Amino acid sequence: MNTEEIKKLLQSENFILLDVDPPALYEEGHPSGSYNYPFSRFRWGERLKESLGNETPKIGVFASNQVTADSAASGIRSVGLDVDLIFSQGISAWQNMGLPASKLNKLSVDHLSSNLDKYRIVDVREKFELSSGIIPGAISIPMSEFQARMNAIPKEQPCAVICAHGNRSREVAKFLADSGYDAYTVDGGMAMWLYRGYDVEDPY
Amino acid sequence: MKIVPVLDEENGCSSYIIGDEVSGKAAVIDPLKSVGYNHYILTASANGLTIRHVIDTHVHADHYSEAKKLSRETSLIPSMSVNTSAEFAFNPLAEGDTIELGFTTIRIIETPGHTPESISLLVTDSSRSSEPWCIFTGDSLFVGDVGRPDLVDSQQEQVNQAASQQFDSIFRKILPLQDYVEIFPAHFGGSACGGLFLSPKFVSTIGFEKRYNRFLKTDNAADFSRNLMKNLKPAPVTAQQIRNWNLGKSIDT
Repeated sequence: MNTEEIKKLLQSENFILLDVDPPALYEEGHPSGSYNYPFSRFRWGERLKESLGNETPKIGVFASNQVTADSAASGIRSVGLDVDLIFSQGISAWQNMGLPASKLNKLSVDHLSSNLDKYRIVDVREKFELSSGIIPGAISIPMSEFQARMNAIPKEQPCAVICAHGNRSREVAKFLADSGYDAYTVDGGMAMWLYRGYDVEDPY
Repeated sequence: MKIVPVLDEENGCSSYIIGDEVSGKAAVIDPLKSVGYNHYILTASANGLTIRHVIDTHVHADHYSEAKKLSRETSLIPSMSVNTSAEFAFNPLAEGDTIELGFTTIRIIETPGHTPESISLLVTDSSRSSEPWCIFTGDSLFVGDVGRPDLVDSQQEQVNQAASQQFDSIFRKILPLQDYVEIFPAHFGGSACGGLFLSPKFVSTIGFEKRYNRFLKTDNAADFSRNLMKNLKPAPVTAQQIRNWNLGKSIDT
């Protein structure tokens, strides 16, 4: 498929592009508008079908290598869905074709600890997880309450989202960024913050 | 840090995916043709990891390496010791070189003996400590055994020299590590590269091997060599042919 054909497909209604690479790679660069649905060998197609519910979109697969792309495509076909695009050459090739790419903003715990005044820190762990301590000045908005309480986050200030290991914060930071916030996920999460020996305070 | 062993139980070969869960960067160590590149790519991916380096600890004499094919599929070139006389492009590794995988760092230690181009990979996870946590020893130090010195050149003089190099590599470069450092060799159990005492367990520690590996009871090089020779099995007849294939000197199958 050439650039124009892919562009046309991306703009067509009822088309979703799945980036099936691991989350950390998606974070570094992915086709704009794509969803990260990392391939796994266990019931991947079935789970995809379940999460699509009654919808039957046109589906595209994006990956950094042929093996992953082909495995994902056969996973999709195995549950009776069609695959309209398979792109297996990764993000550089995608960009070289003139196709749009995005990446997620992230921060290291080292950077955050020396720039605490710059960021509003949002800790999205559940209440029961906070006994290990929270970063001084962080606000706690558990992921389960996130949408109801996200208006507590000021839009004017860069926002550092943190969780236990960096998986939930990645999702939340992407959601916030898509909603117009200057949001960053903190790589490695509170586990890394504590491994590196930075201060926490009692949340209670 | 994450370590995912990928074992070929039939041939007693161990390969590993090692990576950093934060950056998602991984290296595959000693990938096996018997396993196939698909498995490494999909296993890495299932662990949230992307393969950024493919490393062979040495030119294997008992099994075919998947390093070239896996590299090709992941748009990489294989990494091997700078002392390897391979007939294809590779990323040369020398003593002290490092490979960064996020918080995980691999440091190259040259450990000739089993083969002249054998390297070991010393691993640190700086999120936990600046001290090394484990070492991938290839065919130098095994669990319960040490790698044989006779598969490259079976002439007695060459074998003696290789045995003496193996002694130096193990006693001067590996055993001085802290006792708690884990060792992940390239073989276990019934591999042709080890002997009677090669354990079916694929991982051990420096401290346990120092205390209970029968080849390490002596710190005299001559006694070590004698012990090694005494326990040698006949060399696999295909050793030279397999090494040549792994060096790119024979046609791809």
